[in-house]
Amino acid sequence: MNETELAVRLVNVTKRFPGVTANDSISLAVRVGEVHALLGENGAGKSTLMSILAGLYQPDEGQIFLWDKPSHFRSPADAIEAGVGMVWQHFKLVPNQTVAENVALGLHHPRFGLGLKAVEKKLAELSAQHGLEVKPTALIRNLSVGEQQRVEIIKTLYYGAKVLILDEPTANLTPPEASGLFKAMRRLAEQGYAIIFISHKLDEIGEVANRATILKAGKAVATLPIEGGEAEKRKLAALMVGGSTETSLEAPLSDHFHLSTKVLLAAKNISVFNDQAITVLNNLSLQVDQGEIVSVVGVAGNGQRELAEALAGLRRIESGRVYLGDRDLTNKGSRLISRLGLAFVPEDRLSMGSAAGLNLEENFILKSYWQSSLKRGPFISWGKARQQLAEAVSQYDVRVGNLKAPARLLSGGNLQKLLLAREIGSDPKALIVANPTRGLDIGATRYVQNRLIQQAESGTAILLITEDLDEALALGNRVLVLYRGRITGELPAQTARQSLSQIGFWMTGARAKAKDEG
Amino acid sequence: MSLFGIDLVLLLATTVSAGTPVMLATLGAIFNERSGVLNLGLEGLMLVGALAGFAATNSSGSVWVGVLAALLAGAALALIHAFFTVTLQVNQVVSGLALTLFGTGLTAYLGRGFIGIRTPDTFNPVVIPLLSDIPLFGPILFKQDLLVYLSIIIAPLLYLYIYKTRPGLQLRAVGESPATADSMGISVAGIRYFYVLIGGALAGLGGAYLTLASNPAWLENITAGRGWIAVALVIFAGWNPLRAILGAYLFGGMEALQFSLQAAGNDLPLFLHDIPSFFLKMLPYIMTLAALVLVEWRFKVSKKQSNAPAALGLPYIRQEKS
Amino acid sequence: MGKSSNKKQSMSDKNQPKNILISESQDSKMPPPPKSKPRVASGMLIRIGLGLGVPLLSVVVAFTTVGLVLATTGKDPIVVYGEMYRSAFGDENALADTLVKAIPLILTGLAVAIAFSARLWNIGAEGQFFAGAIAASGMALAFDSVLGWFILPVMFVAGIIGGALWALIPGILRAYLNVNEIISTLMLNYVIILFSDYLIYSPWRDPQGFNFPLTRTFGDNATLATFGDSRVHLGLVFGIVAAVIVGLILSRTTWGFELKVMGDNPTAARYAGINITRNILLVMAFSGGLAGLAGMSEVTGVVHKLQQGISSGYGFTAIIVAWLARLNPWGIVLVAVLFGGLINSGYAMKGIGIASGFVTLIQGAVLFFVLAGEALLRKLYYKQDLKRILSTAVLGRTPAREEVAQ
Repeated sequence: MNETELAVRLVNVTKRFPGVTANDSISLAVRVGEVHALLGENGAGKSTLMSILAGLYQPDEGQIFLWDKPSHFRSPADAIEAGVGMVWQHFKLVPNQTVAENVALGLHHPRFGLGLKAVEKKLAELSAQHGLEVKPTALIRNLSVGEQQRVEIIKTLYYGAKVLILDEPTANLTPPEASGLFKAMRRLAEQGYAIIFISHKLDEIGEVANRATILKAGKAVATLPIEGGEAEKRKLAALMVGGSTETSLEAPLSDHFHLSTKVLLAAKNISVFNDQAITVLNNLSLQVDQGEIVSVVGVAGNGQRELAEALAGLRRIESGRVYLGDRDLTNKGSRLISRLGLAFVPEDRLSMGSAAGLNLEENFILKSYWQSSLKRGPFISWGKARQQLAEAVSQYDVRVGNLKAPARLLSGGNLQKLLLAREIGSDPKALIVANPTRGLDIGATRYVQNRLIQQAESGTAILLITEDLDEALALGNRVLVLYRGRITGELPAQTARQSLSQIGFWMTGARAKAKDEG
Repeated sequence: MSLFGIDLVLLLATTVSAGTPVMLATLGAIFNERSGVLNLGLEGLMLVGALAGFAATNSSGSVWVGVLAALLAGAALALIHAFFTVTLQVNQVVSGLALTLFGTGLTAYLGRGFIGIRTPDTFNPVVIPLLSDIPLFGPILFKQDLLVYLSIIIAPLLYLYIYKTRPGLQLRAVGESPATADSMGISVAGIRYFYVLIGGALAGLGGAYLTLASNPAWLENITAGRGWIAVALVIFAGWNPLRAILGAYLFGGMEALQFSLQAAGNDLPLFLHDIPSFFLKMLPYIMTLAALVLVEWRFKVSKKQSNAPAALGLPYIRQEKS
Repeated sequence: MGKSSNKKQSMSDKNQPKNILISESQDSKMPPPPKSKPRVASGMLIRIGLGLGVPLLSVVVAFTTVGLVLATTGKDPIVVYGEMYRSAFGDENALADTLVKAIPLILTGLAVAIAFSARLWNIGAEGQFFAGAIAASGMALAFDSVLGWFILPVMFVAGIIGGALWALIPGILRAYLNVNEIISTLMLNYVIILFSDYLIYSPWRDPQGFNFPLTRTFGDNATLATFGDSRVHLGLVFGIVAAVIVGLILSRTTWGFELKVMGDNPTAARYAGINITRNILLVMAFSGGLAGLAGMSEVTGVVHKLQQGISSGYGFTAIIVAWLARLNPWGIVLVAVLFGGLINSGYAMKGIGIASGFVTLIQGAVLFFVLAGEALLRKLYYKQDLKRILSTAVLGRTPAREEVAQ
């Protein structure tokens, strides 16, 4: 095999959306047997470029060559046919079907039957060959995120992919899962696959990539070989962010100190069921002091959602108690809890945090419409609502054109600012925020994070539930690790930054196991 | 065998034939809803099928032409629903209601000339040799007409189709996760159109059973809510064709019981005497509601979630990026 | 951002075609929002376009389509429609009859609209109409000779309570067991109509009625007053007052706000601390009460007895009325009058040999074309949303660009 044989060559690919050039004459070459990182900020054009290679979009200009053969994809199916497989960040799997059924879905033979047995057999072979462990008869909805990702990878291999695109594959993985994935990626590269790896995490790129192409504002800035090391990281960061002044990658957050030891928010031995009546929080305890930010980290689905909902009064607490200062909040109902001073910014901004079809005024008073300040008898005083909103909009720099516009038209960042304004505006004693910066661009992310720090400095106790480890470490005074509904570990943030591997172990339940055995 | 003057064999045989039209419509709706499209237009579809089948049999003299006409008419009306829900992506509830209103009005308008006519040809019982001699089961199941046999055969076939074949796998994927199906190169719109049409055709056939077999005549609103009952039975059956048989015969049983009780009159024990026929006629509706309540109550107690297709009722809009 | 944004805006202005839909998006580029007149004006135009233009056009297209059906079945559509217009709005008598038909449509339309606002599909207005009619009739048959003028308030309350209680059954099933209200309300329609039949065939049958299935005529004191010598009765006032009340509830009150939030996003409603269970019960009762009042006003204002066919499918037509009016109470009053005319003309149609189903046919067609019109308009509107996002993207705001890439 020729070392420099090219698997993929994109030549001057341009893709315009009305008003925006997402990809501006980008050229990219990916060698056989390499892991090629595609690096860039949100909005730099990585995903658009890969969507073109995966056949989802057609480029406005430019050409695609696979093994030096010009290729035109009219659909994802064409790309798969040509040997390009993409693993999306949001998996394309049918939750109510088995692994084998999901694979069979993309096959064309046999025409009428399913031939599931044959699929299962071949899956087992592929699984052994590439070191990607999956159980062909398992139902997707019973698999962890890491397992589902393996299914996605093996699915593309099953369909004959030679070029594999992984879109931010570590976003929802634990550190051990991530390193398992890297091992598999390198193994595939050694076997002659070409792997394109979309990321904006410099550590990962140093760990797994052979070369990296950096995109910035729709253009390819540079392609570099990757050797690892701090100096290289800084160089990549500089290329990625470029001359932009509003963001700097390292961006040290003003380390804030909390001096008070007054416990404001406390959960004592709470147990909570999920929607299927299975216990998801098991005898969990935590506390947050006045002015403190406590980060709860963990892999998605270990009880984060239920924890936030239980504290906020949206989910029944089966046993245990929750206190805000001296007040017992346990199962008090969300209205009373928010009245007593516990605010909550949920993770799902559009599906829970706002009524997306209603306008901004209506969304702004969602939690306060019943207060006497906004009411005259049974009537809502819309004038006052408008006034409050106008103040919040300017104070929180929410960029909107029309206050009567439905909330769904706001960008993620602006909607999050509006929700923060609403929740912080109630002057809460404690605040729960869940994945507050997910899906936001860097500017909005910094804004939101700074607001949270400001709020903590003014005395609010903040419980930050997040899947973003960097964010947890940057904002939190303490970091708690949540695994299967228990807190499996706790460290002060400064120590935590030096003990990532320890946190990784906790995230996979190391201590929980030790406990069970002991 | 009889109890208080009710011939039990006759009761059960009537149950089977009374359940057949509802079963056909329910099976059609299961197909339809498995693809993710809710169809509240069943009542209208059944009516259109009933009238089309009746009219075509009348002019051609053959029930088979009637069957064909009913299938086509059901599919044609369902095409409107498919266009509105899949292409225009309007609210599926309202589109279904409009379909029912439209079908009801259309058949009342066009069917006026057919009131009081008898068809030249009807579905008559076909006695299956040997099988019909089985005690009890023979007379109940094997002295029925061809459409009954057809419906009994169709249900398990549909079950196999949905769970064991490639088209069935695709159908389920479209109803559960259209984005996934789309990424696999499966045409979500194409599949939805196809099964909405199939569902409409089967509902039309169910309607035709009423005018060609049950009571070979056309009356305005002859379905009397059977389409709505089929909508309920889909939920009762948990979108499973085999359980649709049970649901449909449960409904058929209520209808049969209503006839039997009326016929038995004074042979009944005293507490059943003089039940006004109006109350007996309520039975199928009340039992349908009760069955639904039971299903939901069981979900509530067991805390399990309904097994409705995850994308049911939601228009599919392709997200440009993942 | 001020300077450069202004420059870019003026540049993009040149490229914008003159289109009302787009002019709004241009204004939206300017944060913070100045209350600029052009935006308000174009917003109003859009709303008027949505509120009037689309339904009107839909109705026209629906009538055209049904006209084709007429033509293919050998009737001259122009003659038929002319006759329909004459019998619905042609003279004072026709107009009065149309208003009489509009009364139950206004009340049931409002009933449906308030339930739909909270995304509760109450398809049972027909049944609740009967429940109200039965309850009111029961009061009249029992007490009209003893209560004097007071019988009317009693019937008024009984009608509301009857409808409310009947609607509470599906309300309770939905609130506590999550039983699909579409099916339960429909099943209960059949049940209550059969029950009404039972009453007029057996216990409530008028002994002097020559064995016809109807109750005796209520006493004069159990009859609603009419306007002048027309047949238009006090129910019209009920309808208009109800429209005012429903309008106020939906646009101004905290309860109406809660219903709107429930209707848009039940999860957000829970998050906001709204008591969904209680509101489901309240809305269903309120909705059923309005439909029940329609039944009461029909038996006291028009029929003066309980008999078969007291409803020309008002409860079902109400769904179309409410949807056509986009759940707007005043729109409902207006549309109800038009549909009252349609139903009224249906009787005349029988005279010229056209089946009664004709009116239902038109109703179904109208609903379809309204849906189609909405869908098309929404597509246009979404395009505008997109333009709004894109226009902000031109200013170099990364959030907007992310949205484009997504």
